[in-house]
Amino acid sequence: MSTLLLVEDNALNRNMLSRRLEKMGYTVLLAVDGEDGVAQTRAHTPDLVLMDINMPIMDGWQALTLLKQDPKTENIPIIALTAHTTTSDRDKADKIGFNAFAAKPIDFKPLVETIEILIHAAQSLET
Amino acid sequence: MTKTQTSWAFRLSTLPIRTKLTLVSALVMLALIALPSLSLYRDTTIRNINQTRLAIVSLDSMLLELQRDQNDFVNVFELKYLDKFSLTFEKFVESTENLKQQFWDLNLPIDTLEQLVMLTSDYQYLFEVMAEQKILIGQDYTKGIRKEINLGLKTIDEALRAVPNDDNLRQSLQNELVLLRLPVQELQVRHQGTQIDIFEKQFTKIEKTAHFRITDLAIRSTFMSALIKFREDVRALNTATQTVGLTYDDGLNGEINLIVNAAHQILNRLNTEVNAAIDVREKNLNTLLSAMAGFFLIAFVLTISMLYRSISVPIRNVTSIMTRLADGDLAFNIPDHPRRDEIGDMFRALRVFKMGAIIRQRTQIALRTAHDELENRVEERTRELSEEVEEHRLTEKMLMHAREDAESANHAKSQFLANMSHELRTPLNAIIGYAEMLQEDAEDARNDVLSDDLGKIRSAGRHLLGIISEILDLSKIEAGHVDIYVEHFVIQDVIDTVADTVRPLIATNDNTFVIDIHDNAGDMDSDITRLRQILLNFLSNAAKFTDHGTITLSVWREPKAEGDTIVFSVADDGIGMNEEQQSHVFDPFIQADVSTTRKYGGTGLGLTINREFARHLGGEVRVESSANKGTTFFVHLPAKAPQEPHMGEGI
Repeated sequence: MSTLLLVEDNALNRNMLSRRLEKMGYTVLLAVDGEDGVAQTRAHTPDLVLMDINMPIMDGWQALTLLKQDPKTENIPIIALTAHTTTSDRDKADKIGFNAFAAKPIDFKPLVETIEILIHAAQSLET
Repeated sequence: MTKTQTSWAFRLSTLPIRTKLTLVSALVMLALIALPSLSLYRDTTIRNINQTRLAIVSLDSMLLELQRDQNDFVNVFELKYLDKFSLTFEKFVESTENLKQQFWDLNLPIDTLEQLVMLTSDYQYLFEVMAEQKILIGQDYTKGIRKEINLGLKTIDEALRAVPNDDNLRQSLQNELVLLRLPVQELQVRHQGTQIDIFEKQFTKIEKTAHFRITDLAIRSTFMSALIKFREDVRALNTATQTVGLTYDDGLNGEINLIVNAAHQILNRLNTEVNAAIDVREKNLNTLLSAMAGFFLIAFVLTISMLYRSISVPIRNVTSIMTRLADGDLAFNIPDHPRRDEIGDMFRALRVFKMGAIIRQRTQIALRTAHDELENRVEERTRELSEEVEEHRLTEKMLMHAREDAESANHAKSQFLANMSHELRTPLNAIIGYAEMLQEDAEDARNDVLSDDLGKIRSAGRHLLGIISEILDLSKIEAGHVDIYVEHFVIQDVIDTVADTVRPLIATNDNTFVIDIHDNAGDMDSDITRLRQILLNFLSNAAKFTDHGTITLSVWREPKAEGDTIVFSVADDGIGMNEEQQSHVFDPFIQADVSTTRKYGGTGLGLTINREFARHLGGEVRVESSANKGTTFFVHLPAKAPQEPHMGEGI
């Protein structure tokens, strides 16, 4: 089964979302901020990253930018998780290179569908 | 006398200035001509008189010369003195004639001169008589000797004939004898003492010739004795003539001398008279000259003073009047100037000018008064205005401060709300997430009661989240954080999406959903997300307040010159609103009724958000409603939203 990296600073949300994803059968790695997220991605090369936007130390935008600039990690799909539901956030996410966008509170079923689509797309791209 | 003078002066003073100046010029010219002329005349006259005086003096000397000639004739008895006398007398007569003319010219007393002329004429006459008598007497006395001389000449001729003509001797002697006879003839006709000397010389010459050249002693002796005899006769004639002339005196000479003396006296008198006349004449002329010079001097003084009085003084008056007029001093009378000359014209012109100046001054004063009044009014008004402006400015400043305070307070509030919403939402996300997770577990465990309760937690959490989201949206709008992204889309697509989303909600209260898209709706350029949100808000609002009714979503295009408008309407046949409710329906945190919140839930922010979004898209929202009959919300949006978003006005 696929490995996901969940980058989320809020412990409750991190716990809740990771447990639900694990229930779905994913292997879920955890990171507590942007910097940690970038380091974990480089270390474990997950199949997909779920990235919160509002985080301390390094926010989602910066982390995403770093990952998309690195050839090792640029092909890993990243889903932005945000409470900011405005169009500008959506556009910004698209522009910087998030592969998908999920507004909090997260509708879990559509999120899983999106994860599956993105992972398959990335795998077919590799092969 | 005075009257005449005055009238003369008056007549003169009325003359034009140019005439006066002409008169003065004429006077100057006259003086310039008359004075030198008179002076010249005087000089000429005096010169002439002096000439006359000289002529009288020369007359005197001529008279003396006549006397000398007379004496010479009497004493020497030679005719040459007679001739000389005649010559001098002729000159004397000529001089007296000239002098007479001069006397006439100079208007001198001529009587004495006439006396002199008469006297000298007598003198000459007597002298000539005397001389003639003397000559006649001499000739008469020498008659015998003359006869002897003629005989002697014949004897000489006879003796000469005997002389041989060897070497042309006779001819030579004859020639010399001719020369010898010449002084003798002179002696015979006129008595000339000098002729005897010439005769003696010539005689010696012939004597020598005869002595040396006539070789024949006899002939020589004859010739020489004839010659000597001739010489004796000639000498006798000379002596006799002289003796008679000198000795003859019939008393005439004494008489002549008396006349001459008288003439001298007359001449002296004449001289005295002429000198006196000359002195008088010169004195008169000088007096005349002085008088004329004095006349001109007085005339000049008078004329200049007249000019001064009739030109300079009035002109000075005119000047002073003009100066005063120019200085704007009009409070004086221009004196009456009776003259009809240029000065009078000037005075009359000045009067007219002064009248004009007075009128002008009055006008100016009136103008100035009006101007001052106007200025005062303007100043007053300006002061008032500036006070008002100052007041205004203060008020404005206060208002601005108040507004800034209000804005910053509002901004702080919005910021606070935004932060709070975020902080509220994060735990809420966890609540909802865990509730969903647990619900799934309960469903898996087929624990329906638990699942249902967990569903209620989740639902309540979602509702709370919705409220918080709306607060966040409104806060963002108020904080000015609204980004509008205009894109092109087909209206039908938006309606479909919205309808899909809202259909379950509408079905909740057993409402019928009707969609009416007009054929002309077409497409538009706007922010699709905001439009969707507006429609969702209106539709969910309608669904909330309608039970077993119909909710109709309509859309159509209203063509307009400045750009088409797309109108969306959401109509329901629910409880409706009264006018009071309608007027506040778009205000934030207000619902038609406080009880409404309890009954229907919701934040009451949806409509406010709609209004703000519509404004940001260049449009507006409005509502039509009546109680118990239903409500229709409209949103009018431009088919092409402005690129620059309309900033929300805040609430």
